Amino acid sequence: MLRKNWLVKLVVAFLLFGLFFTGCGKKTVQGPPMPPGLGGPGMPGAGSPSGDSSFGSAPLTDEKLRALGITTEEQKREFLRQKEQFENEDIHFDFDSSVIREDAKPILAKKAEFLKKYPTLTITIEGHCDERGTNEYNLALGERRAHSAWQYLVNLGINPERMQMISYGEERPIATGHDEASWAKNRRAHFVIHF
Amino acid sequence: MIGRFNLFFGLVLLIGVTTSWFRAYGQDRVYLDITDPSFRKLPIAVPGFRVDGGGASLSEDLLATTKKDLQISGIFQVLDSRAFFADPQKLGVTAAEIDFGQFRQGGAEYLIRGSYSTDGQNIHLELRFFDVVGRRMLLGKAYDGKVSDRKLMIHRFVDEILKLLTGEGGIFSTKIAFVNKEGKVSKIYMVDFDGSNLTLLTPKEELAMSPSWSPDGRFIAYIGYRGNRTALCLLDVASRYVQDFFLGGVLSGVRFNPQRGLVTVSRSQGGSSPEIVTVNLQGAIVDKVVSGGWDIKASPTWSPDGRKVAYVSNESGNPQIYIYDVNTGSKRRITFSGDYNTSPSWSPKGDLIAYSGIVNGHHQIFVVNPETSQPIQLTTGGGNNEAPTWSPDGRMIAFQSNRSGRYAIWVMLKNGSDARLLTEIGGEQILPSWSPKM
Repeated sequence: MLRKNWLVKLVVAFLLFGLFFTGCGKKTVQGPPMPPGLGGPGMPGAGSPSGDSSFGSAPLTDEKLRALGITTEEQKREFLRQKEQFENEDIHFDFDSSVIREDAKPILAKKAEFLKKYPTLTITIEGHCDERGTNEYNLALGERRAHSAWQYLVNLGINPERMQMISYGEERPIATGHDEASWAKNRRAHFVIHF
Repeated sequence: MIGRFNLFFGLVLLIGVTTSWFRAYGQDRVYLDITDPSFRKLPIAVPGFRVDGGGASLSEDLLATTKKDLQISGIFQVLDSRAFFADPQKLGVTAAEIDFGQFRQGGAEYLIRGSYSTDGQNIHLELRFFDVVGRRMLLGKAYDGKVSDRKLMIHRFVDEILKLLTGEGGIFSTKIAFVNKEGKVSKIYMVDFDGSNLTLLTPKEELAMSPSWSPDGRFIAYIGYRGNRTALCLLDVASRYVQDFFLGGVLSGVRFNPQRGLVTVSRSQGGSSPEIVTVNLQGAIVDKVVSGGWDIKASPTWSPDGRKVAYVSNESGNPQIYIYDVNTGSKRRITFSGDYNTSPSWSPKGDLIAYSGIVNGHHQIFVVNPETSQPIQLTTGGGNNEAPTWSPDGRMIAFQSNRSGRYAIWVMLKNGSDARLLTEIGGEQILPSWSPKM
């Protein structure tokens, strides 16, 4: 039954998409092209039961930008710059540790600033691990990493309700080598904005 | 149609299992303990099958299945002596016809003779198991059914032999579920105990983890990723119907409770401590088994009596295995060597917990008696060996290993011997779960 619900939601989402783009014919703000991975029309995402980590990604429309208080081209450029940084700058962890390292603290401080500047944004914090642990334990460890980042941002004044958490353990590496350089990159918390 | 076989076996022969055979071993009903260190595999001869009529040429196929089953049983050493391979058409199938001396001379202590006839889609298969030294038949059965069910007939017969020799049936009606990773996609599959009948169970999943069979073999619980949420999923294996339960928080490591038909899962929510909770089959949390503290509580596994749960915690600073006693509320650590011990799996007999621990940079499978905490290392070598799961008869352990490159599922006897590759498919196979007998 729940499977059916997903399907219904997916169909509804696509229908709404269609309505929005053909019916309203709204122009989007002119600006730099959207960075890849943001989820343009036709991307799986909203309502899809896929494991895509950019769940909830939908096109960044004028309407959504206005809801964030962005009305000028300059504001939009600034937002997109900060958004890119927010989503591309991971924090990293030591092996088998979920302790926030010193090098992660300024990055988290920047993330808190960004979230304070755009107080309606909500995010998902993803916890990841390197391949050396066992799969199931790494899911738990990844959760602790996401939780450490979550707690740090809560301590900096971000409303906990705005931040979801998930763990991918070692199942979604960004570096596929079998060496410390790759492992260090994979032991991370990654931040995804919902639109 | 999965899980239940509808076979109409006609049992027309059931001859000659006598107590005198047991006396040959000294006492009544003394069964073989194949995991005893002094156990020596029983040499057995399996000549070609005799064709008694019908057009189908199945001798090779029946012979290969019989030999593979005997090897998998862990009890027999299948002899390859040419001396046994006289023309199977001329070789007798009954005790009166068989020249036991010839087999004994070739080193065989046991013998299986098979004969069959086919009629269209139907097969009549007769199998006889002989004690070569005592020159008598120990077990004889005839099976009538579809040609397509011939492997199942042999599985049943070898299972009967195991029952006869060890006091309980083997694994010949079991399946092993696991996660197959291909690129970023991880779906749940299952195979029969011998690696055959590969079946995709969750075609829609993109990322599914930690399959766990229910004690009755009807369900597989697992963790499914739904966008940025994890769901506790309950798969009805026969219908493939999946129910998703959202318990809040991040979920991992789901296992059935063998006594109560409940699912136990590790859950963490923002701002509260990680916990191990028990959930009923309607998705409601009925019990918080282990909670408190900020340490990880992962991979719960129940004792067969449902009174204790073993799990992984890093409360000491690195992952170690603990046992929580549900009745007394007491907790104790059971692994003390090494600084990375994870993936516990409680044996069906309750006397051992298998787990993986890092030795010299590689995960190896261990078993530990939960009372004495004395670990025994079962695997060695340069690969990783992880995520053990017990066969329902407690004789074997399946696990994931990358000893041959990619991760695949392997099976070994519980003393660590006779490792064999179970899954020879593309992708990487991890997180096996062995079904109950079905």
